Amino acid sequence: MVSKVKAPAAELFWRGLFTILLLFVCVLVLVPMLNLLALSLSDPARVSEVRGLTVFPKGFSLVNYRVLAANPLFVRSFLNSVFITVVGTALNLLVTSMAAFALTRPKLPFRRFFMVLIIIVMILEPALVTEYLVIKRVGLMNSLWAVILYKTVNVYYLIILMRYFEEIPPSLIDAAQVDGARNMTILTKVIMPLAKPALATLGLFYGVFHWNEYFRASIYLTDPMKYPLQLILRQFVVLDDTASLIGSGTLFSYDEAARLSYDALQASTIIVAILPVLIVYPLILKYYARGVMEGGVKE
Amino acid sequence: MHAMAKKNEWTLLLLLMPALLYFLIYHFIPISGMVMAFQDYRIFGKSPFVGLKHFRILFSSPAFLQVMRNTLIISFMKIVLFFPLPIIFALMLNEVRSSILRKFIQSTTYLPHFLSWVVIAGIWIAFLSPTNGGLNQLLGLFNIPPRDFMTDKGAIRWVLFASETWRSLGWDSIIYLAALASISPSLYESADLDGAGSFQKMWYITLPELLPTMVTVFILNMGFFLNAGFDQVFNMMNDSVISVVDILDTYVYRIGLLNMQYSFSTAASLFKGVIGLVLILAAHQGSKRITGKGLW
Repeated sequence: MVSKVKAPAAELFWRGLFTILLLFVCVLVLVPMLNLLALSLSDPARVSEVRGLTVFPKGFSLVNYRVLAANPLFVRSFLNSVFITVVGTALNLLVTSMAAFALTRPKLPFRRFFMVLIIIVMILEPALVTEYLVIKRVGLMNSLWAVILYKTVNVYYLIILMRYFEEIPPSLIDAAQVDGARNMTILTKVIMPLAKPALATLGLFYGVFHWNEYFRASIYLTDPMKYPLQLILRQFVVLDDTASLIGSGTLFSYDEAARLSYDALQASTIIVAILPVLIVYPLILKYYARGVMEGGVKE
Repeated sequence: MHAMAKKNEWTLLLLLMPALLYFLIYHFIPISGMVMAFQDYRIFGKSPFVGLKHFRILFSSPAFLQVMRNTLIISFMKIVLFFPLPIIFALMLNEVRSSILRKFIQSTTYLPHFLSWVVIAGIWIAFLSPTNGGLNQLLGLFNIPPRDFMTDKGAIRWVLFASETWRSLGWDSIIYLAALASISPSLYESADLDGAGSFQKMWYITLPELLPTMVTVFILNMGFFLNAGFDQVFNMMNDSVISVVDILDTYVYRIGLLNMQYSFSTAASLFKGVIGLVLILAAHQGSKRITGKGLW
C-alpha cells in the first residue's frame, strides 16, 4: 500500500545519532570489564603500563590465574560455588515443578488456601534476624545447605511456571491418568518435557542467582573453607582485605611473585567470577530475551 | 477407579510438601517470630513483652531518621530519576535498523544485569579509582583533577545511581521494546498518509501506546520503595560515606546481626515490612485499576 520511500535526511541524521549514543553506552559497559581483563592478562613487568582505559593486555601472562589456581582457599571457594549452583538449581527446578504441577491441578485439596499462602510469601518478607535465628535453631548453621536451600522456591518463578503448565492441554494429563500413571510420573514424563523451554529459562535464572549469592553465605557460613567464590571476592576485592586470599603464602612460591600486583590479582578474581555467567549468557539471551520479545509481539 | 482418583488427589499434596516445608522454614516461622519486635529477646528462657518500647526508641533515634532519609533519597533516584532512561533507550534502539547492531547493543547492555553486585562493586571500585581509574583518566583529558568518588559524600549517591543505570538500563528497556514491537504498523502507515513527521508520530502514536507499560512499571516499582537495593549499597559503602548511604536494610543488618540487638532490629524490619506491605498492596490495586495487570 505505502511504497517504501527513501527516508528524509533529518530522519537519517537522528538514526545515526541514536546509533552512536547507543554504541557509546556499549563502550561504557564494556571498557571497565575489558580493562580488568587486560590487567589480569598483562605481563607483571608491564602492569604499570595498564591505565584505567586500557582494553588490551600489555604483553601476555597467565601468572595471576596460576597464582589463583594454586591458592587452596580460592580453588575451594570455586568448587563450593559450583556445588551450590548445581545442587541448588536442580533442587529449585524439581521442587518448583512439583509445586507448580500440584497447584495447577483443579483437584488439589485446599487449593485456594495454598494460593493465599503463596501470595503471603510474595508480599511479606521475614525479618533478617528471625530468619537467622530459625536457621540457627534447625541446625543449618555453617552448613552449605543453609545457602543451597535459600530461595528453593522463588514465588515469581513458581507463578510463571504455573501459567506455563496451565497451557498444557488437560487431555494429555487425563490420558496418562487413565493409564494409571502416578502424579510424579505424569510430572516427569509428560509435563516437564513439554515445559522444557520454561524450565531452561528458570534454570538459568536460578543458576545465575546461586552463582551470584554471597550474603546468605556470609551470615550462615563460619568456616572459610565453605565460602563460595563471591564471598571470597567480596573480602578480597570489595573490602580490599588482601590477607583473605594471600595470607596462605602460596603467592610467594612464584618467582614472579615479587613483581605481582594486587590490582591485577583482584582483577583476575573478578574475571573468574564473571566467566561462568559469560558461558551461559548466550543461552540466557536465546531463551529469555527472545521469549519476552516474542511474547510481547504475540500479545 | 474412584478410590484411585481420590488417592491421586492426596498424593498431589505430597508433591506440594517440599515447597511448603521450604516456605515454613524460610518464611512462615521467621514471620511468626517477628512478634519478638514487641519483646526483649532472650536466647534462654522466656522473652518478656515490652510493648512498643523498641519502636519508641527506633522512631526517636537520630540514626534511624537519617537512615529513612537516605532510603527515600536513594529510592527516589533509582526509581523516579532512573525511570525515563530505559524508555529513551528503547525508543532509540527501536530506530536502529541494522539487526546486527541491534543484537550487539542488546547483548552488551543486558549483560551487567546478570553480574552480582559483588562483581559490579569490584568493577566500579577499579573504574573510579582516584589513582588509575578509567573515569579519572577521562576527566584528566579535560584537566579535571582526580577525585575519589567512592569515599566522597557528595558523590557516592550518584555513584549508586550511575552503577544502577549501568546494570539495569539495557535490561529494563526490554519490556518497552516488547511494547514498541506490538504497536500496530497500520497506525504509522495512516499517519504517513496524513503527512505526519517523525516527532509527531512519536508524540501522538508511540508514547500513548507505551503509556500503559510505563504506568505498570512505575507503580510496581513504587511498591518496593523502601528496598533501595541492599546488595548494591552493602557492597559499595565504606566508612567514609556510611552516613549518607546507610539504608533501612543495611541498618537492620548492622544492628541485628553485627550488634546482636535482635528485638530492636526486628522492630525496624517490621516497620519496613508494614509500610512495604501497604505500598505493595496499593501498587497492586493501582496497577490493576489502571492497566488491568497486577502483581498476581
